[in-house]
Amino acid sequence: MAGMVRRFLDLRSPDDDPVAELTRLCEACVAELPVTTASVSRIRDDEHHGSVASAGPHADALGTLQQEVADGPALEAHGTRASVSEPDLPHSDRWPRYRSDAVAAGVAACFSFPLQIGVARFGTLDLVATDPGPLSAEDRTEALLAADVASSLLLGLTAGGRPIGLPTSIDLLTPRPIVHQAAGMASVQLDTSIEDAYVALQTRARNDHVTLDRLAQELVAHEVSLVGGPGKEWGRPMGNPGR
Amino acid sequence: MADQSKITRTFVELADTLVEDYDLIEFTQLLAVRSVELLGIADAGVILSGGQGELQVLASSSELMRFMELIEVQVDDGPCYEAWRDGEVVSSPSLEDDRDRWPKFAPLAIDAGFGSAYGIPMRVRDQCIGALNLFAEGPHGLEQGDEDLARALAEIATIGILNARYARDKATLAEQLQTALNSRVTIEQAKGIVAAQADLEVADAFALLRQHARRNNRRLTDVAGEVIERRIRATELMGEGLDGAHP
Repeated sequence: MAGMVRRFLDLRSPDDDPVAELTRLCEACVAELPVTTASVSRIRDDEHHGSVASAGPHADALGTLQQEVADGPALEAHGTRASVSEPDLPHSDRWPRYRSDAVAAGVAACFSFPLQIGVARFGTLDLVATDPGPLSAEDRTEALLAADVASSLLLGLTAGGRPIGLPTSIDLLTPRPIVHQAAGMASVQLDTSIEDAYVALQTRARNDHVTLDRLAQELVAHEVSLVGGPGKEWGRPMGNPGR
Repeated sequence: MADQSKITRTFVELADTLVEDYDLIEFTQLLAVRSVELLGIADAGVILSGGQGELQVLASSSELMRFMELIEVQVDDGPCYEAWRDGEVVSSPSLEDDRDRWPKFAPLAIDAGFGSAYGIPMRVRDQCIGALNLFAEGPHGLEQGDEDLARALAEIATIGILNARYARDKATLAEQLQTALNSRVTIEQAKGIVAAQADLEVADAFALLRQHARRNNRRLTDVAGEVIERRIRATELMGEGLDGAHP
């Protein structure tokens, strides 16, 4: 398993709430990657809403800076749905409104990775280094994995009924396909964006004390709906998940 | 044995799909579907490694197959997992006889109605990027000639994926894989939307999406994206009817 994911799993504790888990993930990035600061930016409708979690110096200031100047690597990664890499910020001409303050804070290289689940976008994972230089292919792979985990954490999607303390593979940290199908259905039933549909699913699962997987199964089987009607009586867990 | 002209057509089709900006999901999906047709087996699927030792299910000829493959990558047990790990063809002409060999995987596969299973490594020289998974209902699902064909299919697909990877500007297989998996998620979201809009089963929603993409010669991921943005609605897809369905 990837060093970063392994480190993250070592750092987290069962009592961590989603923000604490995101913080552990940022700490794992700083520990395993050649970067000094890692943060998770919340971005909605192309607007930067600051950092939700971070590790390393200046993280919050850099988040606030991108929010204030409405410019920078995080917004670009979000907008283009692709990772952004600037290995030598002081000598680049990108993001003029962001660059001068960031360089003054010691940023020499910055990398942003979009947090997305299908077409749903939630923000970015931002990495900053005080030494210039690109990330190696291995480091980029690690960062991509971290971004995947961050997307799931942001949505509380990792607790889909799995033994979350004992994952044996990265797959256990990401939701099953049926959860995405259910999010699509929920977005129609509630007439919301796909982003809000994930949040609605998570809220409903929590209120009904069922796992996200279970709720998704019932929704996809047309056994339960997110609109109107009394809450379903949840009996014994459904058997064959393959049906 | 499959007939020669079909085999040739499949190889040409696979090569044609590997244009620039090809869709890894669609390519591996094509490999799975054609493997089922050419080899006369029940199901096929493809798992790939992202380069960090973790395996991902890329394509499956059915939802059941997808489930079986997810089991394999999660329990690290089964022919496909072994084929990838060892880089060798793994044959189980009788799953019933291999219950002890794969204690977690074999009982599930037998319960699902499979009698034999084969894992074909997707390997070129010393680089193994994943495996092609083949399942048949009865025992001895593959004859010797079929196994050679399966091996050739897996190899041509591997060469294609690796070449395309080098052609792309520094994009690692992990990055390609992530993009591919994200398109997979987009398709799942779109399936749910069509299913809810038209009150359909998810599998039927998928059939409509795929048919629309095929008829309009568009990428499935792009069609899925427009469904999610509500630029294509289920009624529009339904209006086209389903192939093979009576009017």
